[in-house]
This record gives sequence, structure tokens and C-alpha cells, in this order.
Amino acid sequence: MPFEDSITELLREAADLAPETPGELLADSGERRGRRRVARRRAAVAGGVAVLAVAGLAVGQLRPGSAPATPASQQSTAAAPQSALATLLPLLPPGRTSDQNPLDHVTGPGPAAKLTFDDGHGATLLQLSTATVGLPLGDDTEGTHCSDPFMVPTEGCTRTVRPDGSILVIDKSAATPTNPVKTWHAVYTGTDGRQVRLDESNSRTMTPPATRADPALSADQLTAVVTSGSWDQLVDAARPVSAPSSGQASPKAPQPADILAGADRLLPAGVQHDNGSTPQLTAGEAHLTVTAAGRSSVLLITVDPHLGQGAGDPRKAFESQAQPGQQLTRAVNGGSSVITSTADVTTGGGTPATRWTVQVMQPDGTGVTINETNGTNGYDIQGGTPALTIDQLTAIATNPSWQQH
Amino acid sequence: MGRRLVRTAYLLNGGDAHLAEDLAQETLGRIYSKWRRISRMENPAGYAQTVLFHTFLSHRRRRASTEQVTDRFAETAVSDPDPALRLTLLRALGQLPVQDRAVLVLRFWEDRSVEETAAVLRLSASGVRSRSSRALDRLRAVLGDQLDELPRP
Repeated sequence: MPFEDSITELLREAADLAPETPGELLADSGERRGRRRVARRRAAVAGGVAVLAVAGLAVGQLRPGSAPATPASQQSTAAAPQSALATLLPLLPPGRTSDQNPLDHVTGPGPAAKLTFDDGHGATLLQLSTATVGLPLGDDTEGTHCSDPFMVPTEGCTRTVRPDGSILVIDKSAATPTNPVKTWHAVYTGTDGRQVRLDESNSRTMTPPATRADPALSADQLTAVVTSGSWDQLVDAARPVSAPSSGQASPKAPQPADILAGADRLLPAGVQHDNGSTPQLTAGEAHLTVTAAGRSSVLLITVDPHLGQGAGDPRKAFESQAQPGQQLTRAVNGGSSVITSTADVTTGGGTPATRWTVQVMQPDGTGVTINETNGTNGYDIQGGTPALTIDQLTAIATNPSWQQH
Repeated sequence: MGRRLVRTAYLLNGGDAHLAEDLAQETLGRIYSKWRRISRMENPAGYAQTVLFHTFLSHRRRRASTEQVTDRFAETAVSDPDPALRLTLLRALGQLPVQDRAVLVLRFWEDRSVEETAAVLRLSASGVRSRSSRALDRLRAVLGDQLDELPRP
């Protein structure tokens, strides 16, 4: 095989290691950044002062009853993303840092930083990110719960509600037989809506090879970083330039129990299912194990009532996601748009695994995605033919009962 | 489209998952405000890929002037003991000059012609050819005899 062909083949294999970021997540955060770009550009046209005024206003709006917002002019310099790196460095235990990266084109959700830290026992990748969440903090506030151990191999997780109502989550993912890399993180969500998160990996890249047995920072050291008062100025300055749209008017993502109840109604006769014993806490998402014809598979069902919202033509945007090798059925006569794929994916350990996916945009814009994989959990994916066929998955995902009325 | 963007971004960033997601999100953010116009294009996904390459290069250019000198090269030597060839490739990609990397990913992952690659990266066709051959030489030097492990299509 000519060298060029080998490279093409190898690039394809390497691309399989890319993170499986859910499309909806990517689109949401892309849209947030886009809105911020538009807001910044408009403000810049109106005059440099305007953007600061809006920032000051947003702080006031987001913190009802709090002390008057700091004059905007004092905040302007703190918004530079470099500050996340500069703020992080003095908070770290003694050690050598390298590959410092301020992630300077991150404009949302908030300033971030990334670096390699070495305490003398091997490199640890550190990734710091900040965000602002809506108030009041609630059960559905993102980042305030432990990972679902069904979906992520876990070494342990603690969730602490502190006396002032702020929430600290320390979550440690475990190594698996095929992946020696652990990612531990601490997320602090303050009652002012701040979220400071520090991720660490016993690897340089979050992918194999591992550089040491565990990441370098202990739970206490992670906690000290994310709860530090040093983030105050940065977090204040990075609040959204426009108040986040209130979720009151639009439908909320369904709770996992509602999704499981929906699946219960829609699964074909004769299919056994088991919702598992771990609590499912992620709004808009649920998983269950189905058994049919002696085969067991894991279904991950995601329901997004907002998929049809957004600028431009969301349906066209949805349909353009279809890649070569995927099957696209365009909406006809007011029906659903459907993208299906049956893929042999390669997991980090190099074993071939099977993932079948049906993505649907229903006529009213509701998005339903069902992933089907083999195995006994959501991360250790096996090969072979899954329990439900693509047609059966499609019938479930296109059912109008997922729409909220 | 999103999945494809992340995969391309992952290759461009030499296998850095965090930077890849960041680049894909930034790309979507850049096309967000123009979506009405873009969605009428014949190939919106292709346009998004082009924006991704421009975002990658402009970000890298900006960072190159402020980046602190580190010992990265010394610590990730090419005599990589990791047996997984694709990890070796990702690491080798990460050490190529950014424009060479972009050329390589466009030519051999995106399957674009020399002329298309030149148009996306605003280079001359001969510039694309020389960067492509230089990048392939570097990869050949790193991957060399390990290439026999590749599955034959």
C-alpha cells in the first residue's frame, strides 16, 4: 500500500479516538458562543463603553439582592482568559508546570486553562474551566451531581452541600482493563451561580498511555483550588454579557423517570428491560438494558425538546449532520427527519465494538436520540449484533409521545 | 456535522480531546450568526470544515506569539514506546508545524485536492505540495517500519 494510503487509513483510525461529544451539547455551546460573539460585535459597534455597561447590568440582574455590582470599568481587564491560568498557578501544590495553555479563544462558558503538572512522580494533565449557572441552584443544575456509575467507571464520588448552600462534587473515574487513564474532577458551584471545575488525568492528553497510577492532586488539593476566593474577580467579570434566556416559557427536558416510563410503553412486546439500580439524574437522558432473543444491549435515550429551536433552519442543520455511511430519511409530509447508523467503532483499547444510533427530529422539533450498544454498562462496549434492530429503535424514537404538549 | 468537526479538530490538535472540543465549539459559534446564509449553501458542512481550519490557524497564530517556551519536545521524543500506531501518529501530527498539519489533514483526511487545500488555507498549490511532502517525510521518519502493522483495506 502506498504511504499516502497508509496515512489516510491511519488518520481514520486515529480519528476514532476523538471524544464522542454529543451533537446537541456541541450545538448548544456553539450557539452560546455565537450569541456572545454577536452581542460583543454589536456592543463594539455601539462603542466600547456599551459592552461594559451590559456586563455590569447582567451582573446586577443575575444577583438580585446582592451588593451593588462593581463598577464595570474595574472589571474590564479581569475578563482576559489569561487570568484563569494566572489565577490557577499560585493555587497548585509545589511542582513543575509545562505546556501552559490559557485556552485563549474560549469565549464561553467562561475563562479556562490547561497545563501539565508534575510533582516529580509523573505528568498530570490539569484542565480548569469556569461557567455561570442559573439561580437558584436546583436538582437540575448541571455539574452538581456525581456521574452515573453505569455510564462512567467510577472509583468514588462525594457530593457535599456546604452550610452556605454551595455544592461541591469530587468525582473520580476509574481505570478499566482497556483504559488505564483516570480522570478526577472537583466542581464547586457557588450560591452566586459560579462554577469552578478542575479536571486532572494521569496522562498528558486524557488518552493512553498513563503517566502514573493516579493523578497528582488529592481530593483535598482539588477542593482547595476550586473553592478558593481567588476566582471571585474572574468569575464576576466573566458573567454572560446578556442574561441567559429564562427556561420558564419553553418546555424543560424530561426527567429520566419520564423517559424510562416512555420507553416502557414503546418497547416491542417480548422485550425484557431493566432500568438498573443506580439513580439516574441527568435531565433529558436515561439508560436501560434490554434483552430480546437472548441478546442484551444497553439503550441510551436522549430527549431534547429544544432541538427545533435556534437561528436559521434547524431542520436543515439537523439533516446536514448526516455523514457518509449514515442513512438519512428527510422529513416528508410533516414527518420526522431520521439519521441512522450502524457502526463498528473502535474503543480506546482497540477492541471492535458495535454502536447503533438513531437520531430523530420530530415534526414539532423535539429531538430523540437512541444509542444501542452491547455490554453490561455504558462504557465497556462489546461487539456483536445488538438486541433491537434499527427499525425497532426508529419506531421508538419517532413515536409522537415524546413530544410535550 | 458536529461529530465530523470534532474528529477533524482532534486530528488537527494532535489527539488533544479538550482542545478538539473547544475548537469544534468555537467553529460552531463562528458560523452561528451566519447560519441563515450558510444553510442555503449547497454544502453547509463543507463550509463549517473550512471555518474550522481558519479558526485553528488563527488561534494557533495568535498563540504562537504568546506561548511560553516549554520542554514539550524533549519529553515527547519520537522514539515513542507506545505500540499503538495511531497514538504515535497523533503525537507526530502534534509536532508538525501547524500549516503542514492542516495541509495533511485536508489532503488525507478530508480527501481534498491540492487546489482545494490551497484555497482553504490561502496558500499556493506549490506551497501545498511542498508542505504536504515535507509533512509526509516527517511522518515516514516517525512511523517508518511500523506501517506494516496497518490493516490492509
